[in-house]
Amino acid sequence: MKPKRPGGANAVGGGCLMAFSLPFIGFGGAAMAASIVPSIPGAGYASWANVIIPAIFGLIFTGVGLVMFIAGLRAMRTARGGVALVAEAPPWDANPLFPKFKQVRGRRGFRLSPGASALAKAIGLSIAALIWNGISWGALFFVVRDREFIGMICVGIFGLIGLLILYAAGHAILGYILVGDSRVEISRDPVSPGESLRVFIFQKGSFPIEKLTLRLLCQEEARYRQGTDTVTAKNLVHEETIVEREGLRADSGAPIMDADVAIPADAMHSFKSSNNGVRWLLELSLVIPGRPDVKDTFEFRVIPEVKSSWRV
Amino acid sequence: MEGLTLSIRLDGGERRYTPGAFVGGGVVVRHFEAWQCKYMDVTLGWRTEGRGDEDCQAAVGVRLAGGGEEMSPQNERKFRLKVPQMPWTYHGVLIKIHWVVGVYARGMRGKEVSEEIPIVIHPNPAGIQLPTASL
Repeated sequence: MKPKRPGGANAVGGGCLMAFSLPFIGFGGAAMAASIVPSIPGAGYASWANVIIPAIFGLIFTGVGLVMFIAGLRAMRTARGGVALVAEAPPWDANPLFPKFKQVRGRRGFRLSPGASALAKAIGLSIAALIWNGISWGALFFVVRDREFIGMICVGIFGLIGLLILYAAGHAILGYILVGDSRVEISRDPVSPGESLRVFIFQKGSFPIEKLTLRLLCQEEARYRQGTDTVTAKNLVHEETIVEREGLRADSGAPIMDADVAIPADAMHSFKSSNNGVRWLLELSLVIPGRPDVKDTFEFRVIPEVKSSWRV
Repeated sequence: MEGLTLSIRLDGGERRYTPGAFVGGGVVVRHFEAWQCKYMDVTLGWRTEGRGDEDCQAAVGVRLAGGGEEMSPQNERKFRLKVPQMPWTYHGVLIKIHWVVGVYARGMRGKEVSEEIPIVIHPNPAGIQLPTASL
């Protein structure tokens, strides 16, 4: 089968999308009409809720339907008349395929954002633990009260999973309170293949660090649909331990260590399209005695521009 | 469109380009009679292959003919396109990025006819394997 034209559109797909949008527009329009016209002539409106709720639903359905209709119409027009052509592609810094970061200046360089902050982890896991345990332990109460033994076993498994989530949430909260966020700064952003950058690591609080490991990773990410789910597959194409050091100490005022990181000369640049991507990451692991350990990734960008000569 | 054949001829014939270079060549169009062209575009486009759902884009392109232009049964149209800076041709584990020079033409009636040639876009193009089969 010949693959579709890059950037091209499918006229049949566009037509299907337009047809699919019609029930949305019809249903939404009917709901809006129902909100305006009382169901029993002369009866008037029962309440404002009878007007507002159908009107909101009608608006949402009509809006979604119109967006689909316009997208379908555009696809059909594009398929008939060819794609919109660009004489010259934008430079890498204006190209939507190059990841966009908000550059934040730190103490020694550009501050990188963590994959998930300690606070976000603590809040996310706490909410998950609250919902999961609320439902599963609530259900467990009723099956125990009614002495349904099979129900007790089934719901009990969910209750045990809830305890594990609760443990993870507690660990994350302790991590936030006792350790907090690690901060990684780099001397230049973005960086070219073959270039080096200096990495500075800061850690809040004041405590001993048994072991620190910093790794340079290049990760491919591919997103695909599997039935009704969307799955993201990940694969490391470059793994390199930059530094592994023991007997350090966190000190809020100063970087706990710094190191040089060399980007391989034959490296692929950072890239992000709708379903596929190549990401460059610094992975920081801290083993802290008596406190939760830290393991987080910090993304930085490698540009599609070679400044040094190729060494491949 | 029945009977319409397109073929791409690339200057140099190397099919390996560095970002910022120019891809030049010609499109040879053959048909058994004169015909009216709705559009004939030549593009540099990329598409992904691998585990993820396919992404593709025509990065640059130029319209060689169109708007009902009368075309003789055999002619050649020249083109010259600037190679984009990114993405580079990439042969990873989960993801591959392929580039093609493609010509896509349609008469006032009938379906689109196309022809594609795989190329490599990389700062070190000699180090990248050139795809042989049509992608």
